[in-house]
Amino acid sequence: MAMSVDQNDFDILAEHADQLSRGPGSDVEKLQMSEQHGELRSLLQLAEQVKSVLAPVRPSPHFKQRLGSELTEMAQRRQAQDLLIETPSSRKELLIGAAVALAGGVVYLLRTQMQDRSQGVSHVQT
Amino acid sequence: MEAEQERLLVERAQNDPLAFAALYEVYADRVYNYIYQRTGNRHDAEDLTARTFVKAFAHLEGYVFRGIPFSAWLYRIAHNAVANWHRDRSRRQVVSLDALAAHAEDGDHPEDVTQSREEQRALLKAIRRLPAERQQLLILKFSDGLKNAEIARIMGRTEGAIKSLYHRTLLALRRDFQAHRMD
Repeated sequence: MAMSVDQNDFDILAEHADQLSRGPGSDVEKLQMSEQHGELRSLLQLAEQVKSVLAPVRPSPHFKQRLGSELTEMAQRRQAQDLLIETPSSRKELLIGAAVALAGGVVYLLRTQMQDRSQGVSHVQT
Repeated sequence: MEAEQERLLVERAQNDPLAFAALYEVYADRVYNYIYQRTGNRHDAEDLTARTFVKAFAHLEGYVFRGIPFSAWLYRIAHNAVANWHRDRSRRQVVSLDALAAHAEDGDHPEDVTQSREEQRALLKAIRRLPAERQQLLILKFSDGLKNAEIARIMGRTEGAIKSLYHRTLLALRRDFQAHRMD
């Protein structure tokens, strides 16, 4: 028998799946279905079978803890590497800053000397 | 987890590598479960879960939120790890007896379980014959217990598309399951 597929079927299946996910206490009979949904009922039963064979499985606490520790170690190593990478660039920035400051100082001194000289020359001329 | 909350956790981890631990705590169980359901054994599930998180940690700086949530990105890494695992072995997945035993033990209401162990084994095999995308949908829906909206977000589809895919998945699964039972 060909199954008539409509939005209602999708919704019934989806609602049923949600009921299954919510746990025991939900059953197919609670869903509003007419007799013509006999074909759909077999899909709902199949969904219940699927739910039973796909019961969730958790990792062992030992494995979860071990992997967590390994990831933390990796994170610590990366943090240490980041610090190493940052240090030379900080030094470089400091050196550039010092060089700029030094150059500024030299320019200031030269300008001051030049101004003094020009003032000395004008003073002699007067 | 809310999208905004997830985005904040990711941003923190991108600025501070040690903050990746929070993301690991949130997703470790789900990623492990997803991989376990796809591989069927604990040993490979542990190995591939470790690879998934190490890769996610290594590439986290490159992750940029462009409508694709972090969880979808993480599942994509896990999905690729499983695909490579299948390719490396070049074989069909052998259903783990441990897995079936675990499922049987997990049942809270054994009186409700009318399937025989053989039927369960056949169904699990049929699920693992489905295309990866359909397996992912069933795992996210039934094993992770996610709602359609969240599944849609992870799989990059609309809720309507997820409902439709779910319907087609069940039809295909039933067809395959029945065909192999008759063999």
